[in-house]
Parts: sequence; C-alpha cells; structure tokens
Amino acid sequence: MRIPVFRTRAAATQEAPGRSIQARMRGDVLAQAELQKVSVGQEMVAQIGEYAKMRYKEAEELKLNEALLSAEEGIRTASRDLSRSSQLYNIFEGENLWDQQTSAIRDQALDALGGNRFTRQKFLERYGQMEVTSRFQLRGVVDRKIEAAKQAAITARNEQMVVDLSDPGLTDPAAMIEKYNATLAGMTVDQARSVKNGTANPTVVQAANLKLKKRIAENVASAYIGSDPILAATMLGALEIQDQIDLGEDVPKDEMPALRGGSYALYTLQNLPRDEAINVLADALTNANKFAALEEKMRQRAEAAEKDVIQNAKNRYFYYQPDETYSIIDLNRFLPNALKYLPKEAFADVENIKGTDMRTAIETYLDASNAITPDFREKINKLDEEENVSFSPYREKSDPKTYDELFAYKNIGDLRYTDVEDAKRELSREDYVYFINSLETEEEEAVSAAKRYAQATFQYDEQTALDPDMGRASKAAFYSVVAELERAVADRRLSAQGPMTPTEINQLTRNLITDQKDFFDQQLRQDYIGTIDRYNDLYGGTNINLSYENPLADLDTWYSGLADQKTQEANYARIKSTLKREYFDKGFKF
Amino acid sequence: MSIFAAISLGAQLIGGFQSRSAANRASKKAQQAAEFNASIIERDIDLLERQRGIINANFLVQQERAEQEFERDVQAVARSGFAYGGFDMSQGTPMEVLRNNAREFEYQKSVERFNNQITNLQITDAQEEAELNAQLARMEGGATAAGLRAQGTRSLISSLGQAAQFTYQAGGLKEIFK
Repeated sequence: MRIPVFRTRAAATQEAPGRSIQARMRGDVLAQAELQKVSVGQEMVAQIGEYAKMRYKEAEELKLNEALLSAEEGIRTASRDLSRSSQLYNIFEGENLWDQQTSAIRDQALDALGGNRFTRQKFLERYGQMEVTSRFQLRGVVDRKIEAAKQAAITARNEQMVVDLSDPGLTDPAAMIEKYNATLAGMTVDQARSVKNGTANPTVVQAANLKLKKRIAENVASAYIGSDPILAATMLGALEIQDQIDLGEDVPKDEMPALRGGSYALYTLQNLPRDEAINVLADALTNANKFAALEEKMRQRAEAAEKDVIQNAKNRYFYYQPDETYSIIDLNRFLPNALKYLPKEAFADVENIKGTDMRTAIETYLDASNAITPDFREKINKLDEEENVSFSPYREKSDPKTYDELFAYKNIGDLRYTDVEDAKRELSREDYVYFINSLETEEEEAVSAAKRYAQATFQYDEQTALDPDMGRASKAAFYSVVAELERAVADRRLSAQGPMTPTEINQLTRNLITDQKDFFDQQLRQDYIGTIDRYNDLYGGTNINLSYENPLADLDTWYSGLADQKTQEANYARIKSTLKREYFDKGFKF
Repeated sequence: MSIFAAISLGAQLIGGFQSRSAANRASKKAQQAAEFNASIIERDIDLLERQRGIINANFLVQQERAEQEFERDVQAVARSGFAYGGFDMSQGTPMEVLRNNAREFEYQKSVERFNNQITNLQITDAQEEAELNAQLARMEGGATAAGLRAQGTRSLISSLGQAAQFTYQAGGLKEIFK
C-alpha cells in the first residue's frame, strides 16, 4: 500500500509585514490658523490705529490750513502796508523789510504748526508759493512807485530849472546864457546816465528836452516882449539875421536889430527848431497884443470912470439947495476925497453942510479936474441968477400927467435922462430926484443883468477863469462883451443923452453877444483841440489816445484797460470832468 | 503730542507685538506638526527594520524548505533509479512518511499563519493610517474653521472701523441721515 504523501502548496508571502503611513500633519494650515486667530485682534488694533491716524491727519490738516490762512493774511497785510510805505528803497533792498516781515510771519506760523515734519514741509511749500506771488506783485507796485517818485523828482527839478532860466536877464544876458548852458549841460549828463542805465528812453528824453527849452523860451520871450508887439517883430527879424550870420553872410551894421538886453531871449529861441521858435514868438506877440489892448482898455476905463465922476458931480450940483443941509456922506458917494474940496468953514459940522458949501466943493473939484465947460459955467450962472431971484425950477407938486408918463417909461425900462430933464419944471423936487436916481439905479441893474446874461451865454466861470488853461474861449468872449458894454454905458453917461435905459442896454448886450458868438465857437474849438492834444501828450506814457470825435468814450476805454486803475483814478476823473464842464456841457460838438 | 497721535503710535506698537506673538505661536504649531510627521517617518524606520528581520527569517525557512524539496524530489528519484539498478536503496517507513506528511502540514499551517499575520499587520497599519488621516482632517478642518471665523470677525471689525472713519469725515450720523 502506498501511503499518500502530503505536499503543501502554501508558500510564505514575500510581502513585508506593516506598511508605511502616508498621513502627514500640515503645519502650514495650523500656523495659518494661529495667524488668523491673532488677526482679529490685529485688525481691531489696526482699525483703532487707522481711526486715530485719520483723526490725527485731520487735526494736522486743520492746523496746516489755519497756518496757511494766517500766513496768507499776514503776507497780504505786510504787502499792503509796505506798498503804502514811504521807505520804498528799504522794502527789497537796504533793510529788506519784506524779508524781515515775511520771515516773522513764517516762523510764527511754524511755531503754531508743531513738529510734524510732513505738515511743516507742506506748509513751507505752499508758503513759498504765496510769498513769491506776493513778492512779485509788491515788487511791481514798488517799482511803479519808485518810477513815479523819480518822475515827480524829475518834473520838480525841471520846473525849478524852468523857473531859474525864465528870468529874461535884461541886466546881464551873458550871465543868463552861461547859466542856461551850464544847467542844460548838467541835465544832459544826468539824462545820458539814465539812458545808459536803460531807465530812460532817448526819444522821450529828446522830446522832453525840447519841451523844456520851449517853455523856457516862452517864458523868457514873453517876459522880454511884454506888452510891446514891436519887440516880437524885432526878435523875429533878429532870428532871421542870425540865420544869415550863421550861413556866413555879411550883414550891414545898420541892419542889425537893436535888442537891448534881449540877447538871452534870442539865445533861448535859437536853441529851438525854427518852427518852434516862430510859434513861441507868435504866442508872445498874441499876448503882447492882448496886454496892449488891455492897457488901452484900462486907460479908457479910468478915463470913463473919471468922466463918470465929473458928470455925476455936474448933475449933483443942481441937486443941492442952498438953504438946505446935507451930510458929507452924500457928497462922498460920487466924489472921491470930497472933504478935500469942502470949504474949511464947513468942517465944523460935516453932518449938516449947507447946500452952498456942497456946490462949492463940487465946483472946486470940477475946476481942479479942468472939467467946467462953458456950457456948464453958463448953467451955474443961470442957476445962481434964478436962485437970486428966488426962482425955483421945481413945482410944489408934480404934474400928474407928466409924472404918470415918466413913471410908465420907467416901468418899461425906457426912461431917458433927457425925458426927466425936459420934464423938470413939471415935477416937484422930490419927484425929480426920484426919477434921476432911478435912472442911475436901473442903469446899474440893467448892466448887472446884462453881465449875468453874457456870463450864462458863454458859460463863464470865475473859478475856472483863474486857471490860464481853462475856459479861455468863455473868458475872451465874456470879457469882450462886458468891456464893450461898459464902454458904451460910460460913453452915454458922458453924453448929453445921459445914462442908457435898460431897454437900450439889453438890446446892446444882445447885439454884442451875437457878434461874439462865431468867435466864441471858433475859439472853443481851438481850445478843445489843444486840450485833447495836451492830454494825449501829458498822459501819453500810459497809452492814452483821445480822439477829437469821441474823447469821453476813448477815455473810458483807456481807463477800463488799465491794469492798475488806482494810480490813474484822479487823472481819469479830472480829464472827464474838465472835458464835460469846458466843452460838452456848453453844447460843443466837434 | 495729540491724543490721536499717541493712540496711532500705540496701535502700531501693539500691532507689532501681536504679529510677533502670532508668529511665535504659528511657528510652535509648525514645529509640532514637523515633530509629529518626523515620528511617523521614524516609525517607518522601525517598520523597515522589522520587515528586514521577517524577510531574513522567511529566507531561512525558504532555504530549509528548498533543501527538503531537493532531497525529496531530486535525491529520492535518484535513489529509486539506483534501486532499480540493483542497489538496495530503500529506506524510510510508513511512519516516516506519515511524519513527513505531518511536518508538511505543520509547515503549511505555519506558512498560512505567517501570511495571515502579515496581512493583519498590514490591515492594522492601514487602520492606523486611516485613523491618523481622520484625526488630521479633523484637526486641519478645525484650524481652517477657526481661521475662517477669525477672517469673518476681522472683516467685520474692518468694516466697523471704516464706517467709523466715514461717519466722522461725514460729520456724524446726523449729517449722514438728515
């Protein structure tokens, strides 16, 4: 028997026991979790910090704004104060007041700001911008003021120069010529320095010099020629002869003009261009003519006044009654220095002088004035005779018809002296005196009214009449009418017709005004053109350009275009008011 | 120094200290995780050592087993051949065969037991790994949840802080809602 053999088929596994564990703890997750846990607290602290930081920044911003505001205000105040300061040269140079004041403002603001560097830095940046802007603005103002002060000084100096050189030097013309040369040479040196420095324009300087020389020549020539028009013509001839001499021509001695003491005047004219010199002489000639005419008028006026006194004295002679008494005041009203002509015995009681003494005083005066004509002598004698026979020229009571007639004439302003004289015997003495006095009174009133009428017509103003450059047309026309009127009134007083009636005065005034109107218009136009030219010349440096056609609109345009209106405000107002008052309010149209 | 400047400065310092503290804690946690991972890796070293012992023992068994099979399958055939040639090669008895069978069976059981042990050991390790994974997942999930909660809280605080700033800059609630 075969025993079965058991053979195992099991085989031991080749695998190793156990296995590697792949699980790993992730440290990053845990670390992250720890960080996240803390982040809550961190966030809270951060938010508190952010809030505090925001509030801190707000506070810093507020401080910065306040400091900037304070600095801006301080700079503005400093700028304003310094712009009004008289120490112009110490603002940016010298004591450097601007730097001193702005540094103090800056330091004060920085003290208020505290220590935050960023805030201080921001402030300094903004402050620098403000300071620079204000500095340049102020520098512009200061420069303009310095320039204006310089111009004022130059103007004053020039004015003084004109005054010094305007003496005609009649006694020592050579000394004046020397002074003229020395002064102008000094001025030329100063101007050359300014031109070299670039502070003056050579063209402007040349024009200003010519103007200065012209003014000197005008003053000297006017003073020399005075009221003698012949001298002006002689001076013109001398200029021409001087030209011939300068050209090397021989001029005979007898043709040489005789200008006693006038060589300086001639020299000032020679220093001008010929056309300017002729203009100066033409003006001097015009003035001389005016002076001559004025002298003649004054002489005539004095004569008329004397005639007036004589006529009044003659008229008054017949007024005094031998048996009545009068006050010396009555005599003084028409007779200057009446006491001088009164008989000595009348001095005892000057308030009660006899009519005969009053007549004696008048007769003495008329004798002294050589004014007793044969006619008047005859009248005196006749009166004496009449009085000697106790004949009175007056009625006890006026004739009503005559009185009414004269009164009616008086009311319409047509009562004449001859009417009263002719009706003398029909009037009482009181009525006669009343009408005679009314003639004088009404004449005076009519003349006054006529003057006011002329004044209104030509817009003559006593205030502007004081200014030689203003209202020349009005002045000339008004003076002309008044002078003619007064002459006519005086003539009539001296004539047998007696004083003019108001009607006659009014008519004469109207005629005179009509005669003057054309001349007035022409003169006004000439003045207007001269005024516009003068303004354009005077303020040419500010770019003013007034047209003849519409200067007021041009003036407004100029003013509105100015960067700094404050400096020209007064000039603007003055030019405008002058143009309106002198021309446009008078109805002038170019 | 204004009160707000002082608060701002204080907040910055506190924030710095908080950051440092948080970083310290985070580094500690990272260190712990590293220690944990290292211990698991070190366990693999032990495991490999044990595997080497088992493999070596198994190798000896296999050697012995191979010798036996050689004796039985190769030498026995030779001896049968010789016996057939006239040589008296017979040896062994039925008892011996039975003993061999018994040994053979014993060996099979040992092998199967060994294989079973190995499989159980592997299952145990898988079990342990699964447990570890679960533990770690729970731990990481907790950390993530905590992080997310903190993130939400932080967002809320941030919103409140920004709202406070806005309210102040707007001039107060009255100005906002008027």
